[in-house]
Amino acid sequence: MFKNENDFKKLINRLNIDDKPNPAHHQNLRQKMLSTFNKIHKPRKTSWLTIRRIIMKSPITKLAAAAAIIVVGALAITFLQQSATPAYAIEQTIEANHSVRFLHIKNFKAEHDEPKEFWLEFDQYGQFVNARIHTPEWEPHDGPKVTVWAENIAQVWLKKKNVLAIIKDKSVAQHMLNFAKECDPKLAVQRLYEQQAQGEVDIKIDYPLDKAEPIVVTATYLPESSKPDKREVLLVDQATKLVVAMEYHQLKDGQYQYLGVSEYYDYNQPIAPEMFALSDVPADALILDQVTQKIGLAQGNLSDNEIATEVARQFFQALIDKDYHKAGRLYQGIPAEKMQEVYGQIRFIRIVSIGEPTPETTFGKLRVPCTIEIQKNGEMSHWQPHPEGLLVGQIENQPGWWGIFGGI
Amino acid sequence: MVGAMAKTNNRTDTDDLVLRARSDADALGQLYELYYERIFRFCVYRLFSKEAAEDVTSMVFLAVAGKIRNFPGRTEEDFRNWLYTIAAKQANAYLRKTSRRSRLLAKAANSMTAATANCTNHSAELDWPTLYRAIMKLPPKHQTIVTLRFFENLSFEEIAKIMNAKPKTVYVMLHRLLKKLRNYLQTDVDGEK
Repeated sequence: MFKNENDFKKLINRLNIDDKPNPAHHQNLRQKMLSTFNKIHKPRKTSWLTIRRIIMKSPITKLAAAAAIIVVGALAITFLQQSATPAYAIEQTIEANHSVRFLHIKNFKAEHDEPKEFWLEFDQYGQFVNARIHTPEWEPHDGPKVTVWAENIAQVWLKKKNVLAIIKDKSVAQHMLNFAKECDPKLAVQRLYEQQAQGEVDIKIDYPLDKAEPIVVTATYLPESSKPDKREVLLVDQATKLVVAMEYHQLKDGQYQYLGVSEYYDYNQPIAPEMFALSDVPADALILDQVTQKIGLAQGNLSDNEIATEVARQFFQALIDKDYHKAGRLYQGIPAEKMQEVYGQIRFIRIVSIGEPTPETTFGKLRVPCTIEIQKNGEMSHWQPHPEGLLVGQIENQPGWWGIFGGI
Repeated sequence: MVGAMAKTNNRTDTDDLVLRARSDADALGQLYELYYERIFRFCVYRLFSKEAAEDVTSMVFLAVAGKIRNFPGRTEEDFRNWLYTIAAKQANAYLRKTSRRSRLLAKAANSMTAATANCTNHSAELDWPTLYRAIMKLPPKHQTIVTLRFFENLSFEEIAKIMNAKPKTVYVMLHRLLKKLRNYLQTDVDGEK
């Protein structure tokens, strides 16, 4: 008989069990597993049809009734807090689930494979405290960029331009909150509930037979609503009652066409603080700091055309005076050293003319035609910074202040 | 500020696979290749039947496919512990059916007799069917500890994570269950005499 753990171990080691797996089982199970995974976890267009096929369609149910199902989870904490006397069971559930504090979202567009990704941290009141956003290559204007946001300050690293912009503004916070309303599943449920109450949307709930399949909440905006051609589809995990994905559709040629999907991952899995810092910005990146300095020129009583002209005039005068600090301040806060590095080899002699500004449609700013006399490499010339004029406009995060945008 | 916050990154490729596997079938396939044999072996030693082990291994990986999206772990270790936890629960659930349990005991007795006959160096008083019968008398939790400790060679810390217990608790449980096993075996052997 064995005396101790080691003896027992020796005894076990003498066992000669055939533990070699059958290759056929190995292969079959792999296929089965991946097939199950694809069925459950691909709520995008292709697999959505599969999901729709396998669910049992229940009679149309209004969200008011369905809210009981969804609300029981951690989704609608804000909604539940509005209830004066929440049921005891629900209170318990809230206690058990708390609210969404951490979330990882992948936002796919129908026409692109690479998603936009968000890592979000909320406080106990459901307000944003931290965000990190990865914007992919396909995003127009800036190309790929990484944004981290906290305490109303956004740091935006434009990878291709190797520029780090640091911006402080309430509109950024508002933008983030609007984004939260769109993307946070907790708020999404609340929003749909409110819209249903206002007669904006029609809600259908599909309950699948299989417990592993998600509950499907389809919100179709009514013809008289503010978004008459839109449809949103929420996939709700039956076990956790958490929204796992939200699809967007648009009515076109009489049919709802798939636009994209937001997929939700890692509910309340704490996100490392490092994720909310920019750690990979190259040391030689150009820093546009719009937090520690006010940039641009105050509009005061000037008209838009007058302030645009004045910004252009002061900018070129600063270059003529070699006041790179002032020129940089008018031009997105580019550091004086960088301005000198770029423009120091050119001698700005005089402003020949500044024309009447004209509206620019893409960015909603003004084009100010300018002609400057310069000397470069010993040669004198008349220089026009842009064929259509200098791009001047109001700075988004500083209402009433105007500056220069785009390339010169 | 720029470049000043470089973070240390000790994550392995398999850790990254674990994160990707929540939304990426290829990554899940790779994890399957890494862990299929291990889980199958665990099931064989837990159930002493290849047929039953195939059933339970299937249940484990199908459960993984269904749940991985909400799997909270971030590392290979988290994933491995999660797999073992599922496997232990599925094996226990499998054994809970009395008819299956009896069938397995009978099978174990038959299959182990041949193996025992080949073992010339160890005590003739103890054969493997006897030991397996003794193990099956233990509560399911203790049976899992035996398999993880003696067949999978896991440390107390690793077992504790899988079983959601403290290492010290596992240590104490192991020593108690060994004592029980010794008593069962002694009774069995004495009975045969």
